[in-house]
Amino acid sequence: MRFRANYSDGSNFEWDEDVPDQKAYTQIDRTKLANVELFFGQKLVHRLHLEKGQRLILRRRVKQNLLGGDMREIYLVGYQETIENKNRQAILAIFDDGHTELIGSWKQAPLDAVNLMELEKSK
Amino acid sequence: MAATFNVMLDFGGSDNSPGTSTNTDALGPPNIRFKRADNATIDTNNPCIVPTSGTSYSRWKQIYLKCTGAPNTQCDNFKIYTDGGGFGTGITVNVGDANPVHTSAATTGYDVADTDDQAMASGGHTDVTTVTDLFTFTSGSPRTVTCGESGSKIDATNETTNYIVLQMETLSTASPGDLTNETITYQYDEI
Repeated sequence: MRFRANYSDGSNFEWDEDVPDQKAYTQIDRTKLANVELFFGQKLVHRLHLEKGQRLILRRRVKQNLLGGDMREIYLVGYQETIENKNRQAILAIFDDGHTELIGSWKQAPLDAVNLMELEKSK
Repeated sequence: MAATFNVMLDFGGSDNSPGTSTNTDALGPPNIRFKRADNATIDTNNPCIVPTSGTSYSRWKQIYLKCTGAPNTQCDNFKIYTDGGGFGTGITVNVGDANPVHTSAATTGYDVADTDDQAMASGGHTDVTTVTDLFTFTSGSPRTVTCGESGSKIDATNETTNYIVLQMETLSTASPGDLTNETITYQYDEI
């Protein structure tokens, strides 16, 4: 999966999860983030628009059996925001069979909560 | 780069110091066999026994995930689960409710499985005081596996999760013979 963070000043920041050592997610400038795009190869599969106060959440959730085969993955892309002192989520889950699910709050596994990084938490 | 992991099994040695760490990926299937011996060999030797009464225990298995290819940023939120099935009447696989310590720098949670029929939660394994049936953990309700690395996350090769300790217990109601393989799935979040 390839990602592009598009900023409000017209610039952007791209990274590819198959390129090692990028530490890219922590380098996103969230102060001017307008939207995030996800690409399978050259194909755009999702664009997430972000409003002020909406904090990007992005994960690749991997399932692997102990025998080493049959790996499955779910991409979780969305945001969390704080409204009236309550955290609200809007998360799109992109499954490896191509279907998607949109959730407005964390559900039972496999759509349960991620461990938020400090940069994803409300300030 | 997407992270890669090996499933490692520790055995032998002494408390806090495993003698051998084996990558289970190349062993099977099955990759892990419960038996009345402390090794990683997939064979028919030292089988678990069906007791005429009471409970018989396998030697416990101490496994963990080891990062062999580092993620771009980090991996965390480790969990394991099963299909909820199990091995049938009279056979239970227990998982310790604690995750004894294993990191890239420490194996203080390791307790050598050197005694037959020693229940891990009844004075057997130092860090395991209670257990839960492994097959109660399913994809909708997985078992969390803790990570003792810095920040409770894995972001470099050779970093690991803490131990998952498993043990098979057999009652007199079990049927003898080879069991059909069961699958344990692990899950984590990656950035």
